[in-house]
Amino acid sequence: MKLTKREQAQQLKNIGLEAGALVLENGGEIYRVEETTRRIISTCEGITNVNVFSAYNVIMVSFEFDQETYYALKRTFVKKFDLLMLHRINVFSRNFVREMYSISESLDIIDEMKQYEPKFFHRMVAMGIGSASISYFIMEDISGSIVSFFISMLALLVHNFLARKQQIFFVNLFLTCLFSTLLSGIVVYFMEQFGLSVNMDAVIVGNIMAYVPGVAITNSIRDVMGGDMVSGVSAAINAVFVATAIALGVGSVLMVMRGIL
Amino acid sequence: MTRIFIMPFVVALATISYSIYYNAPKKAYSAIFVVGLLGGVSYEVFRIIFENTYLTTLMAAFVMGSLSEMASRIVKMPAPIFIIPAIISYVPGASMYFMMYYLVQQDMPMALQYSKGAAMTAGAMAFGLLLSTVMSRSINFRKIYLFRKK
Repeated sequence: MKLTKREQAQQLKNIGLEAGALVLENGGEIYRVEETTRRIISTCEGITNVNVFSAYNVIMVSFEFDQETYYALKRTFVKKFDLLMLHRINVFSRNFVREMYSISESLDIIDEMKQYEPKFFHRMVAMGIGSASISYFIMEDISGSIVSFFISMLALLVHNFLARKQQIFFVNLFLTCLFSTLLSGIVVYFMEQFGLSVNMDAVIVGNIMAYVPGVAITNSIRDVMGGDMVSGVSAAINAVFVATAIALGVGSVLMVMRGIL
Repeated sequence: MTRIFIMPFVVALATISYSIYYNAPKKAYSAIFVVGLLGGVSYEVFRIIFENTYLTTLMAAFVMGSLSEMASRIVKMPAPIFIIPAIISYVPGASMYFMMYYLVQQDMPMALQYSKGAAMTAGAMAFGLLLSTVMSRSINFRKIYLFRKK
């Protein structure tokens, strides 16, 4: 692709930055973020000295075109896993490198991608089924997994409600785990009053499984090994804090329940 | 012994439902299901062979990582689409819960044992996935595949 004007270089800078930021927000590794941006920018003719740097929640880019240096920085705020978005950005960057889109088209495509919102109800039911089956996989207790199906869906509702209020992420997670553990304790207690015995451990394990930062720890170790020290270390510390928030949420309720029962 | 026949399907169900929760593309569902199923089979088999949770998790993570890299080349999608739902069944959530449980009971030796278990399982999982990534980068799968796509 050939750039004719300097405004086009500005637009190209924005395309690369936005695409990289979307990968970073939706759960891609750091090398994937940097590679996406670098390929998008260096595919155009006349561009030299491309530098991309990405850390845990920031992406910076600089390049030279027509004896002028362009540089920009974008800070991301959201951190979630959205696999469809990863796939779409992947397809977009491949097509962009093959010169299927013009530069002004690409900005519209990225804007359109950002508008997409997944259906919440499907995700909630999927969360319930997943928690129930993981609870059965670990604890081998069918009654606990059935109870965990309902409670995990309610906990996801609470988590989403708190996330919409723009709370701090750790506090969100702490309150969600506190809520789900409290609810499991109450439900199990009342079911025992009616003569149904349910394994409370199975219920709680199924609920917290989705929030445990296994993927975050894995990605952070991979980042450190790959040389992206800043993001690797910050992601690892973040994972430790998330684990602490979950453990505190569960533990505080257990402590209270042990005092009462 | 019946566990080895049931659990792979339970894990595959968990994998596919978490892939819906993480909003995976619809074209990838079948590949995610296969990765989850084979990962569950490998976990159960290694469990019988090694009788050791860490080694089992490491090997199962390695198998799942390799399968995900292969799937990402066949379906032409990035590898995290397959890895993220696949490993969520093996994250040490149960160890974390029991650590907290024994901490509340003030049984320190058991709490320490479970916290060590949680850390080691997470490390083993990360290391297994790392091995698979390194392997997939150093081997060119296109030369091995007979059924390569154009």
